[in-house]
Amino acid sequence: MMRALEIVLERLPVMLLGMISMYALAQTTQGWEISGTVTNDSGPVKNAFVIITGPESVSPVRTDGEGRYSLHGVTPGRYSLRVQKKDNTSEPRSRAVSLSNGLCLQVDFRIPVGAVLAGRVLDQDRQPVPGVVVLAMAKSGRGGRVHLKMSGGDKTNDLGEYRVAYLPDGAYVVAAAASPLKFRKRASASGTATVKGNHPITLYPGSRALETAAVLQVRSGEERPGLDIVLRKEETKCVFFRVNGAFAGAQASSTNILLEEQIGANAPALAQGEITGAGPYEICGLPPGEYRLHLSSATVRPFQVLGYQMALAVVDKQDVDLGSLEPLAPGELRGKVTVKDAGADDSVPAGINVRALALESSLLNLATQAGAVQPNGSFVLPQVYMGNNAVRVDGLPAGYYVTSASQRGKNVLDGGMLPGNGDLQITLGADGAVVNGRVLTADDAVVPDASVILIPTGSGALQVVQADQAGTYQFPSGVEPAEYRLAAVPNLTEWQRQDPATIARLAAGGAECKLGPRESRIIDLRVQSSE
Amino acid sequence: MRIRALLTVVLVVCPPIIRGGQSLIAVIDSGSEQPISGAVVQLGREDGILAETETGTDGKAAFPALQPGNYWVRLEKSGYADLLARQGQGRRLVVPADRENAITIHLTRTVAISGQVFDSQGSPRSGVTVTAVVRRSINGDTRIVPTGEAIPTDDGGRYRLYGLPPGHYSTAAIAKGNTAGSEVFAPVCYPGSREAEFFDLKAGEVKTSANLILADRGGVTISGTVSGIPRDKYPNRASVSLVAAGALKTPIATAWTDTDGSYVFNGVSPGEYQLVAWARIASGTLGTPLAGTDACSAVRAVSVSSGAVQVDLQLQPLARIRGRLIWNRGIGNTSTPSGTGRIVFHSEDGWPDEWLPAASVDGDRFTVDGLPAGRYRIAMPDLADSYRLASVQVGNATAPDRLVDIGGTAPLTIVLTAATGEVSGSVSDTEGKPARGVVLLSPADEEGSAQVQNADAGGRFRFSNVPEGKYRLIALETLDSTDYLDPVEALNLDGKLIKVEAGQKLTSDLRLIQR
Repeated sequence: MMRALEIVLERLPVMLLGMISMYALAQTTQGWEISGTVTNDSGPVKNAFVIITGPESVSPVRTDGEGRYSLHGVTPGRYSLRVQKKDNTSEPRSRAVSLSNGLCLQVDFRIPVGAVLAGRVLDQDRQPVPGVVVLAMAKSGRGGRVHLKMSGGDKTNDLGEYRVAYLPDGAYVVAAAASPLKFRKRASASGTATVKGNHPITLYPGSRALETAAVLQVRSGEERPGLDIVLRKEETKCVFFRVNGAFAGAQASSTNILLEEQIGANAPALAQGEITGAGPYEICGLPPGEYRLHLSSATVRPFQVLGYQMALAVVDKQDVDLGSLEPLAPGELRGKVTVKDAGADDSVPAGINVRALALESSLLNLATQAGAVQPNGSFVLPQVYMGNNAVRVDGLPAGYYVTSASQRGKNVLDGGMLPGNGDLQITLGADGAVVNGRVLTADDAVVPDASVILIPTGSGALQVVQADQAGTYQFPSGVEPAEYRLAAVPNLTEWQRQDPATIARLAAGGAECKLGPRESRIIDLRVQSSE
Repeated sequence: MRIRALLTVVLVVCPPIIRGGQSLIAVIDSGSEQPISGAVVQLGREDGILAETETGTDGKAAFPALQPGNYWVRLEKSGYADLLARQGQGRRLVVPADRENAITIHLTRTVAISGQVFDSQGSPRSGVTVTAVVRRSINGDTRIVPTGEAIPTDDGGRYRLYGLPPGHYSTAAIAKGNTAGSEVFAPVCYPGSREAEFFDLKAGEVKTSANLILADRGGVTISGTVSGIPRDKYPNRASVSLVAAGALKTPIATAWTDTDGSYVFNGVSPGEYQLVAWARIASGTLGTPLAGTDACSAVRAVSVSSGAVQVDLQLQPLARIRGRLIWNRGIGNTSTPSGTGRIVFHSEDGWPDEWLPAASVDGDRFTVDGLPAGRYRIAMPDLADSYRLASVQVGNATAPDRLVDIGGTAPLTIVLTAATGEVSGSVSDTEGKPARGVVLLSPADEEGSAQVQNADAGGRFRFSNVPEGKYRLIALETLDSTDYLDPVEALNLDGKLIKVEAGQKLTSDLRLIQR
């Protein structure tokens, strides 16, 4: 009897799916299978990567000549499915799918035409500047940090023209990166004369700071010509440095440098290269400004960081000598997790992990260091980069949420955590609410793939989740008890997410939702218009 | 303590003070003879850069007085090229002891090519890689080789190639280095076949509508099995490339084999090809097919006309080649070339040049990691002016025409000669009167950079310390094109073929070529 009920429950999403024509259904004997096609305006898209992430690690697959793909796995759960194609970043957004044993799901992707940003790069005399790399960077902001994501690029031709195509809907800043700065060994009797150089990074229409750059909101199929970027030339200077320590040229490892201007996370590198000895080295062509030089030493296979250092170079009227830099070995980070309102003898739930996420340098983008939390709440992260880290807490059981992560009394959840700067104190709330439900049309038909937004009526960050193929949504672990508005739209774009007017409109049209401690709520939502 | 170490102290150093006399470099447009302002001039020696500056409105840049010796000068000015610069290395500059430090450098306006790529139905094709191609003499053959930067067509199928020195060009749509799957992309030259049509671009000119029409898929299937794939090592597969034979040797498709070694290419057009297979022994990275000794490879020529063809390949380990350089310094010459540059192995078996590993040279020893067994011709295109590659020995036997069989264990010996002669003469115009002009002395049947001299007021020129070998001697009003490197166009330049022998003084009178 129980077994029969389980089968019915497993099939429930399947029955709901029958109403949606885009999903075809079948039975498989073991595990789950997703298959489908990827198409664009001109037909099937071959060699597109289809990537699935979720409870089970499944290797990405590529579409064949007819644009078909197929993925299978054995672990049920909620997964995220997306398509990625090189040279064509106009990817559709990811899909949330709930997968159960025996489910065969068909998910077809249609890649939209994409938007085009085009213009010229000119010097102060309005003459074209060839060979400039122009990057369209999708702008988003979470937790006070501006995040830039490289979404497409082109190089100007001899007429100074650039054209970045296939861009997904979004908000972009356009950055012109003048030719990479010269990173090289200094000759023995070197003396540098002053050379005028373009600003290494100029943001459309002609700004060096993100605050004064134009943010371009574009939609699929839209073409924005005439985005001319004017470069300014200034006298440039050099930054000198040497590299100290066993890391330079250590066996089976390489030491690399990367220079960036302080624009935002993932700003394009101005210069990079490999260190082959103590030096001296120089990077020339820098106009006045503040720059960060990252020095990082790592073994390649397996990838393991041996050391890291960041030096700030303030360039003004003179060359700058940073002296001798030495990659610092990663440091140990200790800390304690406490649960709010828990008794002194209560143990912290099992399965929680604390991660340090290196924020400073794109050299370390992949690098995270994790440690398991012991029943008494203590944890040790043996090797954390000597740089700016953010804190992530994974594996929280239902009802738990992070209220704070602090080091020396400073909130370091979104950055500023440094090993050696004292223990990390993480406080969890255990009285979180559980919110889930379905997204429906006015006549009660389920809406798959909708964005569901939890908007705090007071202060706090938005939370957005995606409904699965059956229109069901679910916020992860615990939601902090408070008053919220809950809204659903077919698709929330990044720029809508950042637009207070859009969020206010969605909040007004959404459901009121006051979440008490440990409350479990099933809230079905009517989908609102995205526009 | 670690925290403190992060706060790096910013020190300031004073700019160097330029003392004494100066060296003046004047930069001039070779067409208009007008000064070029805003050109970045870098000056350096073997061990690195010495100074960098920019030309003023008079086209001149000042440097500290230079000690006599060997230097390089690199010029950067968008829209211009230095026709006498070696690739990326600038031009050589010898400062003699008895001359004032005033140097004039001519830059030439670059050319551009634009067009669109269509499929056979006339639809524009985006994302197709297009490159400019030139004719060059390699191993005595006329080959079509890509030059400049290869770029993908934009979303409207358009391309624009620029920054090229004047000369004869065509364009070609080629497969990207690493095409995925077994999709075949037949390379097409302008305007739409394997036979390239070349056009002349003079300084500052732009060729528009150089449109390319891609060929339809062919009907031939090539399949087979690769054996000898290293087992139990990720990814348990080999890579197979189909390389078009002929003047434009370029990979047209690259595919993974299955774990059982089987592969297939569909839609191949009839023609001559090389099949190249390789696998990594130590790691799963694709990268360049050959580099390091942790790879194994195989190559086979195949000719297809119709239907299905089966070609099986057996992977062989790649060898580490070791060798020595011997300098035959000639009479009275005690110097050793300071920079020997690249040692290039040109495959006679169809390996694309860009896939072959470079030799690393350390003093008089060199090693090449990962060269597949086969026949190669050896060249050293960057040798210092007074040296030439004389011969190559495998073990104790001299290889004819520098053609060597790689595969055995016998070490290679490359003999460089500084045995030199002298070439002098005079230049006259069409009426037989002495003429000023540019005299080029370029190696006739191997790679290498040309020596150049301006004839004096009496039309006289003299090249001393010319290494033994065959040369083409050309006199031009100005050097404003790369045509002298194009074996077809070089014939129109009326160059004189000469043979220089050690200790000999050769006199050759030239008639100025007016273009």
